[in-house]
Amino acid sequence: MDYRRDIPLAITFLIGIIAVLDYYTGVQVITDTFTLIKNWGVVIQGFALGLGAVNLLRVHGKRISQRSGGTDWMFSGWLLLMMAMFIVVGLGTGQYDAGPTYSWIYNAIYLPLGATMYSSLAFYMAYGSYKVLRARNFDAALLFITAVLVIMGNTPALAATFPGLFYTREWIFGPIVSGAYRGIRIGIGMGAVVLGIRTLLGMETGYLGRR
Amino acid sequence: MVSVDPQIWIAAFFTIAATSYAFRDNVVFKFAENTFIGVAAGHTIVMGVKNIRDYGWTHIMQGEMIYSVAFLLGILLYARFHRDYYWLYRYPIAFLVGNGIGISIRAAIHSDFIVQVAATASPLIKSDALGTVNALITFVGVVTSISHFIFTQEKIHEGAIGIVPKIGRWMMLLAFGASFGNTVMSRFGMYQGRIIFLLREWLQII
Repeated sequence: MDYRRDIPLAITFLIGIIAVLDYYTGVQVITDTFTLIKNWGVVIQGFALGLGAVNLLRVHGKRISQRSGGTDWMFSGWLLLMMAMFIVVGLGTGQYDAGPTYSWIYNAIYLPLGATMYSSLAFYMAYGSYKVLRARNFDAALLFITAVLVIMGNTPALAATFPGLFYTREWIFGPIVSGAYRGIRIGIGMGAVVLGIRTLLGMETGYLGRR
Repeated sequence: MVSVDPQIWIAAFFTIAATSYAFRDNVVFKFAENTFIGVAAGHTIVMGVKNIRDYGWTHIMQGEMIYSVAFLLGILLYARFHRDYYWLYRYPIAFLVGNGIGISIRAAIHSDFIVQVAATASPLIKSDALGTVNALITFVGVVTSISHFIFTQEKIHEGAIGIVPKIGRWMMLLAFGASFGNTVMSRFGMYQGRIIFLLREWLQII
């Protein structure tokens, strides 16, 4: 037995089977075991987040030590400083995200930046839609028609002036969107189950790495 | 009267800085971008440690020593940085993959398959004409969009029968267009929130 490869495959199979059995049998011992597994999973994921931080330190630490990318290394230093500040304030006080200082920094920096970064993608989407959705062919025209109708139906001033736009939008999200997405979800469901079974049986081993 | 709260000023600065990329890439945006990545990483780590405490350490403190296995597996993740013992990181990864797949199989069978098939398998003839038309369109959409993903039978995409997956593709394009429009509008809605923040809480002019 190759303990570098076979034991991980056995772990995947065992844990996956317990999760599935918990759903289909409802036996108390299996349910309790799966609860334990879920809690362990949360703990291991916590450690995995630290792995991300280590990678971030390696990448940006290298950039700082080599003074690479013009002035970019300064931003790397700032990035690490910000990360360290959040960790020190969060863990140092022992209150995690509930501390007043942490909340203050969170509301001043993380919240506005997250909301603005996320919402400002609308500009790029609008620009991208201008370039992509120009009705060059029948397929693009289909995309364009529903996109424009939904945007107009979602615009309060237009929908208030022409209520038909609102009802058209509602109708599009009824039979057309639910019909197509239902088909896609059934396909995704079948694909996920097949891929899951293949992985549990050790036929997909990409997650073990190449080394 | 402009706000005098430093928290509002910092939030306003980062709101404007994050938007500045809409004009061109610039130093202020880079500053905001790196700040965001740093605080996001820091926040994630703090929450991760909190989860380790709540879901692991608390149990150990109560005498459930079996939870120390989770800590051991977590530490093994860092073996990937070791040249000789890197393979040890496969154990916790295998645990996480097994857990994730087990949960996703359960969810996929139930919500992506059974629920969707059950929702489609309803009478096509409704009490009103519009309801019947809608049910027919939905049914056609489901069947044709599934047929578009049949790759094991190439002939289904050829000849007269090829119109079935083609209709499926058209239905999906219509649906994607609607999703796109909805996403654009929801993002603009969020951006309006940021503009209102600037005008109301920072500049206090509305």
